[in-house]
Amino acid sequence: MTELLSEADVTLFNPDFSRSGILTQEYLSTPPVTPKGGQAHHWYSLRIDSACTIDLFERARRFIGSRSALFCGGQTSGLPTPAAGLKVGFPFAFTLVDVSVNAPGIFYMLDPTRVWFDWDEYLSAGTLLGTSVMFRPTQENEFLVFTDDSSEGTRVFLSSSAAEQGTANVEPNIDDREDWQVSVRNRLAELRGLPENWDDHNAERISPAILKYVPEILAEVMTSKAPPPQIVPTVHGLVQLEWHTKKDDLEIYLESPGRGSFFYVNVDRSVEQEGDIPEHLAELREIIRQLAR
Amino acid sequence: MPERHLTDDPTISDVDDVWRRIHPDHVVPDPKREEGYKPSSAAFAQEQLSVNLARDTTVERTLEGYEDHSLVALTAGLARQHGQVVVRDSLPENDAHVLVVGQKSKPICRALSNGSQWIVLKRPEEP
Repeated sequence: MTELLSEADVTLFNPDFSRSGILTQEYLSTPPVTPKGGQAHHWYSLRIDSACTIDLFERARRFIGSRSALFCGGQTSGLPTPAAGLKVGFPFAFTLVDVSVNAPGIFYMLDPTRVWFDWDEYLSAGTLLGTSVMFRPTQENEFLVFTDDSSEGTRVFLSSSAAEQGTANVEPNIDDREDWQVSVRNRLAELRGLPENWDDHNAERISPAILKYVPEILAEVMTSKAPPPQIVPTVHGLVQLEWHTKKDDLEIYLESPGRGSFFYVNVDRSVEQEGDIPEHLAELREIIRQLAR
Repeated sequence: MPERHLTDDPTISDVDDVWRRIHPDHVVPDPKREEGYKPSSAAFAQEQLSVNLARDTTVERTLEGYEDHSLVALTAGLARQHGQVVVRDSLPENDAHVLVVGQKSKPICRALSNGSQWIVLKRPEEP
């Protein structure tokens, strides 16, 4: 008989936490990884040793388990962890009590004792799992760590951590990032639904690869206070990201995953700036930081 | 494309307005504009940009069947300033149809967007 956690068990994560990482085995889950001597797989899972009920319609952050472990390919590759918190940016709920499971959105329930995470969805949705997991790589080059290493604690990037071991701290950021992330996520869902000839002038369907790239580039350049961009489809099946304020115009033109350009003008300061992506990401990041002021 | 399409039509003067329908996805917030919105530069990115000659049509006819679209006006002169040719392309159901033809770089698209004026603005639904 598993124990249901009560409201009193809710643990909020530390708001001062400034570094975070997510342990996973492959970047955005494609293509599947085949460890040496192992089976190809897409997922890591976080096993919840204590049953719990989560209701996040109010976007509350809840304690989801007193002990959890990282799973891979059916084998534990982590150690029990002290606690896990959860933060989501959109209505979401599921129940984990050995029986019924309602897990829309990013969480996939494959059996009643494990919650499986699609890291691709996880990152593109901007949802962060707050937990602290001990990990131990079992194969060389097996592990990748998504590290949040920005001073503002808002950017997530990928780095290899082959042969590393230790604690992967995964903490949501206590800021307003979910506002733009939710906005972007919803908009991308709309754009995915645009058919060919969506403008009645023979526009192309929006490239799924470009749509997938949008949250990646935004994760690179957005700051916690930055307003969300307008995500505008083009007749050529691409998208451009636009910010227009009383003084500024910024347009980012995405040409292919990893490639693009931008144009910025500030009418007050008579400043114009152009650049290519990824070569001028730093400049772009600074522009967006200024937009947030 | 027949060659006639590439010859600028002198009967369309620089001060003539041409109207461009704006898809709802191309209406973006811009507090610099009195209306609070602008047409995205993406709305002007086609090499053969389909417009109507304003003096030969009406708003109602131009938006018939496109009730959720907005409508902007720009002058033929603005297009020509940016290397475009303005040519008639009458259609059986639309005598006023005109094409603004030419390569449209990002700066040109932005110039056409910035130089356009709303005739009809359908504001996006507020979230």
